[in-house]
Amino acid sequence: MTDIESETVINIAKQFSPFPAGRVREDGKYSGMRFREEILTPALRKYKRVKVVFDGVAGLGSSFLEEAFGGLVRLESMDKEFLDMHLQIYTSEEELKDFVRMANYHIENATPQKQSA
Amino acid sequence: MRKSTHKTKQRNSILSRNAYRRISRKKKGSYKRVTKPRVTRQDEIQCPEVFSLDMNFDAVVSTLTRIRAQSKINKESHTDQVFIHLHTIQEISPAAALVLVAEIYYWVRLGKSRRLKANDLSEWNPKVRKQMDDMGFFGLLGISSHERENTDNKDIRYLKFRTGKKSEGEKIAKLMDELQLLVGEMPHAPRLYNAVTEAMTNVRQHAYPHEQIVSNWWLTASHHKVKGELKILIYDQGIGIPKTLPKMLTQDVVSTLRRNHAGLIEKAHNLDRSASKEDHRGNGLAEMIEYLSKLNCSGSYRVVSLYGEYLFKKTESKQSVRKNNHNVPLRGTLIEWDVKLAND
Repeated sequence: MTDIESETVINIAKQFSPFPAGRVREDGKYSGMRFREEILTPALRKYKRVKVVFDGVAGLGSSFLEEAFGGLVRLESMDKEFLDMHLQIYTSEEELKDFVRMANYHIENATPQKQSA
Repeated sequence: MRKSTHKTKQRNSILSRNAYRRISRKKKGSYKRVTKPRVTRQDEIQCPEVFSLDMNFDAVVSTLTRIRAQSKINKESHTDQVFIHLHTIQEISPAAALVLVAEIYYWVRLGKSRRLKANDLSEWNPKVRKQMDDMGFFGLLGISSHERENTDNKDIRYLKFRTGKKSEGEKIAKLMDELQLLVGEMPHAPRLYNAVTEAMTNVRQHAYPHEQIVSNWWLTASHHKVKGELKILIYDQGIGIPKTLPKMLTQDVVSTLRRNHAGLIEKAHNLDRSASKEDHRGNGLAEMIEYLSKLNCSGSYRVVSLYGEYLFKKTESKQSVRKNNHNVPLRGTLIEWDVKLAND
């Protein structure tokens, strides 16, 4: 059940790590999988609107972005229309704006994985 | 003969008592007569004067291969001696130095029975010694290069190598902070961060498919103040890109490129998938070139893995790719970004 009126902001650098890196948990402490499973997905299930802010991160590699954001479609059964309505990705830093586009690209191009029986 | 005085008799008696105690203890086995083990085998490895993968690839790689072979021979034996003559080196490139550091690190990790010691440091070329000290080579062996000569080359600064097993963003961020102190503002810093963390992720995911003593990456950087040249290097001792790639290629491509490691490295950069054969993975290697593409200055991106070498070069007016296969294989994968910052 979502809290209809509320919105939350997730600042990756402050609430997760300024040094995100890697795809799966075995890759390292601040992987895309860990961010998605522990922070992003629970927030999307709880709040009507989630704003993810990239400001302050050292960088965001493609492995991290695809697993964190593409993984919402591939593995968390969230479709693109749902994410369009409930997720906003943002940065005020010019050098990170390309990564906002990349995160949205991964959402657009992700394919839901078939769930095993 | 002089008659013994009372004092002399007393002293002799004490000495005799002590001697008796020593003999007693010896008989009980407390004292073991220690002799140096006889050396049964002695090997010497001469390093080439020019220790550079650019200028002397075959000789350098052959030397590294010999060092690795020695580290594995008779691991438990205390009677073998190996001398690696580094004092012959007159010039060493950062890339070759990093690979050498990794090889020595591997040796050190094998344990105390194969401990390396630095002999004859005074015979080393002072510039080489200083460079290796700056890069952290002697720290690996637990010693410091005490030689204080006027060899401080203010033109080039080398950063200490760092090593790890996983995607450790904090380590690359710290390296970049140190570089920033040397070069000032780093253009497209997030892109460089991404390129290196993707390289680390690739090492973690693909380079070491089997459990082994060392499954690390090694990272370093240098800055040439006069040339305005920044180098960032990362190296692993894994199975190499040409061996991880074939899983995802069609059979006819594999058989065509099988011995063409340079071609396989190029293919790895062009393909939209990584070795895991999954649609959503990939782009890591492409991202490494992208850092250079985004910069408003010239530079190069080089990958050396097994027999293959791939070089992407960018000048202000054009981009080019060059690839070649060497006669001897470099273990693992070396990636080097070389950026001329002056014009950005």
